[in-house]
Amino acid sequence: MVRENPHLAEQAIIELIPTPRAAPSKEEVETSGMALCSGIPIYDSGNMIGIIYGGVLLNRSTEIVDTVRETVFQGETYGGRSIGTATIFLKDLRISTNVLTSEGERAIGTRVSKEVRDRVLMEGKRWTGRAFVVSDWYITAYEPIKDIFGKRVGILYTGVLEDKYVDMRRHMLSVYILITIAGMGVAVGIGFFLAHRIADPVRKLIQASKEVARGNLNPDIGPVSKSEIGLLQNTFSEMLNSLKERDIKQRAESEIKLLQSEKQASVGRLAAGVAHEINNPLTGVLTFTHMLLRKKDLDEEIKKDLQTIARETERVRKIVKGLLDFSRQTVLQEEPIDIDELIKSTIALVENQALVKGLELEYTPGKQLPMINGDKNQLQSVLLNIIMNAFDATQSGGKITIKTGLSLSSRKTERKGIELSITDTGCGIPQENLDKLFDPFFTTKEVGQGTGLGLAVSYGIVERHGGTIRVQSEVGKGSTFTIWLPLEEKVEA
Amino acid sequence: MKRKTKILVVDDDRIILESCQRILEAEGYGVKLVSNAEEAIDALESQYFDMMIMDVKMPRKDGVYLLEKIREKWPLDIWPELPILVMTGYPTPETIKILKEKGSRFFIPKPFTPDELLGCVQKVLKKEQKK
Repeated sequence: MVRENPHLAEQAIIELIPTPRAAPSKEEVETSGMALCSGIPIYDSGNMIGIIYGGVLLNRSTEIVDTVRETVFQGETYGGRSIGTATIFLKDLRISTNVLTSEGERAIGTRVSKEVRDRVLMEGKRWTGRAFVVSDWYITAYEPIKDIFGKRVGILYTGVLEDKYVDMRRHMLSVYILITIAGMGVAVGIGFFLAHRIADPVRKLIQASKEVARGNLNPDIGPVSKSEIGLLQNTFSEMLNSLKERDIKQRAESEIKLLQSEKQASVGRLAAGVAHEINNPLTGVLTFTHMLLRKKDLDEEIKKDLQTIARETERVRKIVKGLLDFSRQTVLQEEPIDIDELIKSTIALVENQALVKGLELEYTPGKQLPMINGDKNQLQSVLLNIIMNAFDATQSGGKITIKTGLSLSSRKTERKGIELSITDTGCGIPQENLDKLFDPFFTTKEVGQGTGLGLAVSYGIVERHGGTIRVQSEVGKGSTFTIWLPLEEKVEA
Repeated sequence: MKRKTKILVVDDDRIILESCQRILEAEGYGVKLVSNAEEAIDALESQYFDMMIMDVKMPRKDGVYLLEKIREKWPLDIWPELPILVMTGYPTPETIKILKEKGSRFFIPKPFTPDELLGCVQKVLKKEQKK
């Protein structure tokens, strides 16, 4: 080299710089060089006359390594440093490199780490992976350089600064962490919101249900939600409304019932007083009329008049008796009654009359009805009264239908009972009369035909049995009287 | 000739007394009328009666009091029982029960016709004769 160019020899001299992780070396200076050489034979008329031989000393050359950096890594930098680096090693010594030392100079003179040297130079194998190059970690590839004789004389290295990827990874990691945290935050938020949106109305509904149970039919159920909960809320509101309606209806019913009871009681007291006072003078009238009628030599005209007095006094007596029946707080002579038997015996009493009037009388008994507790005679009088009314209301050719069956009470606690309905195809009851139907002395029959006490008495009897009487009627089509009697022992309120 | 059957009638209402008198006398019964319980006791003490017809509801001392008083004065183990027909205007089962407890067995509701009253009286007397 000195021969060729003393300058080259000088260029080739490289002082070894102590490098961490490098294999220990006794030498301190490298004086040999690595050159890229080429020889071309020269021919003259087919005869080789010489060889042109040339070489480029690689020691301290920058051209190759920098070209690699520029073409492969496009000169990209990261943190002020080139991302890509390339190095040519002579044995394990960097002779041409763009890897920089911490001082920012080309790291010529530093050496490859021992592991790389052992693997690439000694074993002749390629090294790829993470490696500590001079002062930084790189992702690297080392490959042995062989001379023309196949001897491993150096290493070619390229590396990418790991920092960029580490940072990128770190960056990605933090982005992922951030996304995860943000996602969790959003999820918690949405969860909270949804839970609030669902749980809040539900909580209010539960509260409202408790209030309803306590008797408040106007609980606050909060704003109606648009979701399925809203449906639930609406259904709840509907339920409340029907509860309210039922409540109002029940109240109205019980008011009517109370009114009816009061009316009956006061009229009853009045009737009893009047009846009692009338009985004595009535006895007098009856006595003296009948005593007069006993006389043999009576003028025919006087006899007729006396008979009229006797007949009408008899009528008064009947009315008074009806009043007493009505007003009397009779103690029920209760016994177990087979409703079916009771109806059959009642029908037997009226069958002939139905036949005479040309009415069809049909009885459809309910199946396996239990016995009820009641006063047989009084209940029969109720049945007779309603059936006779039906007879009176129905024209010849009409039909009276009696039905029985099990039924729940329509009011208050739904108690089990027996329902007995008597339907006629008669003239029906006008709406304005329905309210007065059970009033004492209310009658639509001609004078002398009815006292207006029958239904009032029936009402009292059924009520004392703990039952109810209802009427449904349509003018021109007929009426249905429905008697409901409880099955269990009467529970006194 | 047979002795007249004598009947004591007790009622606070004049028209009942008059009616009973009219009906019973026409049938040949001897009738004594009194208008309260005390008078009835006096009458029973002073003379013999075959039977008594009495009202329940009377001012001051009522029919129940009269029944008790009679039992007290003429205990059944010493004296023969006086047949009593009770006139009731407003016979509730409770009233009937009390009266039965006090020893009355015959009842007639007011108002009544002559035939009804006579029917009852004859029934009562017949039952007593059978004894």
